Amino acid sequence: MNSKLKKTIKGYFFISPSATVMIVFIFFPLLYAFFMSFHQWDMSSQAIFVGFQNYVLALTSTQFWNSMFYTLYYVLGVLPFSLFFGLFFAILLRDGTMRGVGIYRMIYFMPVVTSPIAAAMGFNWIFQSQMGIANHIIEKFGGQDVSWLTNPTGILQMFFNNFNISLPTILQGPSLALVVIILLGIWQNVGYSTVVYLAGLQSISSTYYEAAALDGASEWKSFWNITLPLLSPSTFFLMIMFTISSFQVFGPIQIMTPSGGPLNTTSVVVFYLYRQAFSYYNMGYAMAVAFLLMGMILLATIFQFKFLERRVYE
Amino acid sequence: MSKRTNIRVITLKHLILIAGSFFMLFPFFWTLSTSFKSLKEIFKNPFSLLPANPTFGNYVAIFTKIPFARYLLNSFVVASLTTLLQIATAILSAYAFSRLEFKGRDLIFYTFLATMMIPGQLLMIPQYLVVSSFGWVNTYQGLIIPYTATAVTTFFLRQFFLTIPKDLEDAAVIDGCNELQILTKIFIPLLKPAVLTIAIFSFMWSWNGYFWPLLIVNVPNMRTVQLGLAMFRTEGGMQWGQFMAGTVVATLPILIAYFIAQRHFVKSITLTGLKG
Repeated sequence: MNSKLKKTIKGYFFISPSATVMIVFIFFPLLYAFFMSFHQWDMSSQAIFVGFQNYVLALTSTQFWNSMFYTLYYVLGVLPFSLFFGLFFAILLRDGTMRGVGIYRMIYFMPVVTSPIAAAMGFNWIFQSQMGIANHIIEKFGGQDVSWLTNPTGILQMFFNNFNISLPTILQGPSLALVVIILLGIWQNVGYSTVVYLAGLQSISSTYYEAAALDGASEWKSFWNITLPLLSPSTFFLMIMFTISSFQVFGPIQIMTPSGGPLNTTSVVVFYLYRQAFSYYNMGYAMAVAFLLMGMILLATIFQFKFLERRVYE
Repeated sequence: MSKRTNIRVITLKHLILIAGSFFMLFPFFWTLSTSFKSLKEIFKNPFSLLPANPTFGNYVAIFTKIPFARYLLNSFVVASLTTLLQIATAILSAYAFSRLEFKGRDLIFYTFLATMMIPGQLLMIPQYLVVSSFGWVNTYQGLIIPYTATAVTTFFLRQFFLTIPKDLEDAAVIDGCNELQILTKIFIPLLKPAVLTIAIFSFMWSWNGYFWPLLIVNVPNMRTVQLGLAMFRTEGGMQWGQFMAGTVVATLPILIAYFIAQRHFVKSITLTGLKG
């Protein structure tokens, strides 16, 4: 046997366990999902080929588009605040010689390792309408109880209600229930972005700041012109990570609003497709929705690469 | 900056950071505090921050009324075996991808990597069908096997394999070692810290996993801790004291692991961007 062939056989031998698992549980399911998205199938009777019908049904369904909107609200709510607070705390924690830095870091990272289910349980309890501590505190200050998880009105609409203005549906904003779920998302992300930003800050050489100080730049100016541009790779990385994970939020939704929230206002795409598959057994339709979701995530990622990566300073 | 303004700045920093810590810790504190309160106290308003008469009643209840011990056991079995197998497959393939030369190596590696971009939910339904056609619904193998090879673990270990100088291996080859011996005698001992780090992450991902167990488990005694907790919440009415006790028990193992390996966690995130 020649040595090249021997080497190839050895190589395949070493990757065969991983490759087998991936073929059976990732590549085959991917093809199967694609195939299924063109069929109508309820898991018990024979699958019927329906062409693009599932995709057309989804794209013309109000429920599907609503779930897309709620997902978008969630992503746009979680993303900026996770980045902002992460950067904010990273800058405060930048000086490694400050007392207690290690303890703060440890505390800020605790929500990141907590499971979304457990975290959602805690938040659910805090925001219970009758016994939750959030309302107890509001009462204490003489305020009215808030029905956090059961009021379907969008928060922007709530604000404009004061002036008797009613907004078009798209502009009404997320319901309070979704806002609470967004808060939970931010709470779980901040520690992660703090750590990533801290690593970014450590790689910025102090000579930049010294030069800027010599030129008489204020601290604010050197933050704006040195820190922020040099952190853009971290920001970019975090945006991609958070976008991908936020589009797929599911567990917290199911814990806090098991039926999809007041008037379905927390029924994000994954929740919608889960219910289509396992409550109504519309398997083909659910797979079409899953591919549309993947398309959305891809679009969002490509958008970020195209329009934001250019601004990443390297 | 004068000394006095410096002290002022540092005090202000601490005040803000403490306020931040308060928001980060409050949900943990409130969960823990509620879990030790009696039903009567939970419903009381004005509320008290700490339980007036701490009781273990809620903990006793979740271990006697529902099979919480069984959930914990299931999670331990699933998370440990998943981690073990995931590391084993990843070490083998990471070694091949970084050290062996063979036809199609890079193409296969990038195909592996591309799987990270696929949203998990897209695959779950066909994965469910595959697993059920094997008759693995409601079994440990059904919970474990689909997760025994992941691109993240392979990629992470490959990056570490690449940092080891080639001379070491050459010496071993001269001494007559074969690839498997090189791997077990040279690479694994050198990479112990990296392996431990990724092991902790794998364990955490597996322990915190929810969607997959939700799909393939439909009998109570095969539920994992996350699934048990979620089902308990949706079926258990208003037992908030018990819910919180369950939440504490489900979270504690991960928090303990995190406290022990804190440094590894933070370091590997800064190195590779692994996410919790």
